[in-house]
Amino acid sequence: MAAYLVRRLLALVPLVFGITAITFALLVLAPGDPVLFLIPPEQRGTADLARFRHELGMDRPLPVQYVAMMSELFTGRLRSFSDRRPTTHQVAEALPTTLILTATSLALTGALALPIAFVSAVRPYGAVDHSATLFSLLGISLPTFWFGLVLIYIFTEQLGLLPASGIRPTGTAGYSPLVIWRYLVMPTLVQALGILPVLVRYARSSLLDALSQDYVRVARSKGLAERAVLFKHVARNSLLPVVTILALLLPFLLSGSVIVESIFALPGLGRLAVSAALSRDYPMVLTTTAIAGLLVVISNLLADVGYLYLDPRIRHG
Amino acid sequence: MSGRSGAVLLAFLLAVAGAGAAPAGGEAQAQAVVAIWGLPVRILGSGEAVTSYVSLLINDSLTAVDAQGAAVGRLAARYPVSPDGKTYLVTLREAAFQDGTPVTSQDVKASYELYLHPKYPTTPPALLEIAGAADYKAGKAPSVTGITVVNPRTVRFILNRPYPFFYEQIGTQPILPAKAIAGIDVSRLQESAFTRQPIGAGPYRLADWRERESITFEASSGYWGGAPALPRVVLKLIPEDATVIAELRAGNIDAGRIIPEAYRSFQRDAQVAVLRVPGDTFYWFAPNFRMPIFQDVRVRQAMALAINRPEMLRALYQDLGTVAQSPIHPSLWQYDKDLKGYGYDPARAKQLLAEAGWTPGPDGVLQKGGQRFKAKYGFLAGKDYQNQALLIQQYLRAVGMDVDVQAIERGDFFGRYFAPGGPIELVGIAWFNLLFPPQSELEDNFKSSGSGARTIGYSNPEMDKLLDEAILTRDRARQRALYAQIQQLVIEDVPHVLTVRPDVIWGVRKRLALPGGVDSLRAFFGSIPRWTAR
Repeated sequence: MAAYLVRRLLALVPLVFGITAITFALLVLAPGDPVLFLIPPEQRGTADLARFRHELGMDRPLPVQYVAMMSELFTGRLRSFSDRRPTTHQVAEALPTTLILTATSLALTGALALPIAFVSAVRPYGAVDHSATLFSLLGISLPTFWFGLVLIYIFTEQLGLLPASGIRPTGTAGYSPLVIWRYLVMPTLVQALGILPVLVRYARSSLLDALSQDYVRVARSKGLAERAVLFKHVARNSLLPVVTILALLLPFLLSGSVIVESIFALPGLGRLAVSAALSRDYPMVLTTTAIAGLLVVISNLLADVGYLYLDPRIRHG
Repeated sequence: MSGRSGAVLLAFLLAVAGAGAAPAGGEAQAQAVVAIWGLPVRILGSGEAVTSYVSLLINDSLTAVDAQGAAVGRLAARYPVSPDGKTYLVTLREAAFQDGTPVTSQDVKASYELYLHPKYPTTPPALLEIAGAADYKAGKAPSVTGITVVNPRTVRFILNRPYPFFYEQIGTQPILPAKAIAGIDVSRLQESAFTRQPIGAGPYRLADWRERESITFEASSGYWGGAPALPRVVLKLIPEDATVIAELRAGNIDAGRIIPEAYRSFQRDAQVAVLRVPGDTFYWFAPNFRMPIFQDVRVRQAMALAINRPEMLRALYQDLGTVAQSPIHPSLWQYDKDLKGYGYDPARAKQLLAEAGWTPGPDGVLQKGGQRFKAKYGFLAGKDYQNQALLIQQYLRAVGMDVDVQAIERGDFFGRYFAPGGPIELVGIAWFNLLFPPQSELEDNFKSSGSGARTIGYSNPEMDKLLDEAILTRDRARQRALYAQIQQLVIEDVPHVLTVRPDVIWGVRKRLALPGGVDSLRAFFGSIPRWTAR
């Protein structure tokens, strides 16, 4: 087990290099000179472009630039082009918001999806199942930004119940759950709506699959209470694919966070990444893609470890 | 199981309702939260509009100029000029920085030497009018000879020539504490702590700065003009227009910019006052003068006549704005109120094109000697630019110009496309007024050495001469006449086709009272220290 984990973690290193190398290549290939972003248009005539370029290290060959940026990234010395602070500072400021929102969204999705899927599977084509299907379809079809704006219109503009912007009251610090939960309700609902249908459909079909297995018939014929059949035998076996899906939904949440963070003015990683890309802040783009890549890979790793726990038959040698 | 989670959800929603009903405490009364669409990246060495608004709160300068063009003393109590117009003797008033230290002549000299430092990235060109400034900037002199500390409260500026915009263009630079900026490594300006924790002599002190979230200002008790009435002001970043509207209605913020579509509904809102002023941004498009088809002035005039500006305003801005005829902001004294610009006259446009030899071909597209009138209109990707581009395309096609439109992503636009030598044919863009004094705006856009003019290849000796003359005379009436001529020439020669100036609309909760005389976006931010709570 330990050897397996070490091997998986070591495999992260080339993966992160691969992700960032491709990102860097895309950045360089895209038109747009980062240096020109740093100089107000009316001073382009007088500003010393060559000096700017030299200070950013952009007068070196591209592979050298990439290697230098990556080594600085790993030692935490990589500085953003735009504000010249270490990129890790900004990421450290943005990451909590994104992680909290991701966690609440996953938790809400899990809390809603599993009961719905359970009822749908136990009574397939019943009222709950049909409405779940309908709402799944709706949930998949609704554009995130539209749903977010509708929530804001109802809960903020009309009812005045929830704040629509930020992660905490203006001028305060920290992430105290007692304070920030009001700011998280709507973003969490929006994020959860995007992934809930997927999870419900997967969990439902996985449960149905398990329900038709021989061991369920055996359990029932032994006279086991239906409750025990469902929770002890069916649930545990059918959770396996659900865990995989949860882990695979993380990239979806991270990319969705770009939109949700804009609508609800959340200071998270999504907006940081987008503004960095738009302003050609190469170091910041590399840092955010590396972090997002790491998060995705680690979540996949966690899913695999979750497998081990849920299914003792799986052994990683 | 589903029943239990339903009960949990219900309890959750009830808790939401309960918490939402809690009234705002006394704390909220003492502060104003203003929604803003972007936060500064850095305080020093930046040309961003938002940075200049933040600077208005935390910094003060020697002089300012009011809307009528009269010089106003800020940190300067007296500022007489010698008869030859070259020497300014500035006496400082008793003022202090936010760290409590007094503002002295040493601070003035150190601040200007920072802006003129060989490695300072964004030196305002007007500062090079100071004697010895060019040598200092070039690294050939240890200090600027034209700035002398006479005594702790008096500083003398000597200019190279009787440059008439000392109060507008030179005296308006922020004065910073010499001690704090002495430690700055100018070649690594952005990495210095000072750009994140600035100290100024303005009415508000920067108390807290959260990336992509907010900037909090606290009233500076030692401000020479008296501490502002609101102890705390927060600029809160909210990128989405609809979110700003909802937060303003719910009272979660005190002021925010609102889109034209929401203007009328806010006029009926009992809690929110609406402030509508001429926008600081006006839109224009320009041809590339290196292309032969645009070199005939009649073709450019025809383009200007083909545009239905009132319809653009109606269709895109709910009629909340004005037709742009002048590149100068209407709140300034240089603006010519009697200027007669272009109306919508496609018939006259076609006539001018015919005079220039362009006649409609079989497909309706203009032709001249076998050449079709075809051009690509590139614009900065974004809602406003795109909507305008589509209308302009339609207007130009109506007079026979075959125009394709193309959105260009921001990085590409400023990095490659809208730069001298870029592949421009027609380009649609906007200009922010009031960030820089009008003289430097005009020079940048219309003087043949300006970077904007070079980008589109515009050069007109008459324009160059007028712009040079405007800085050689110190007679206000003469200056006014020259600026009127410059604005007239922009209309006749059509270096840019000016289109619309949408109004800026702010919603402000009525618990706040704003002073009168706010006539631009910049003035709105500048008025914050004079806001009071009702």
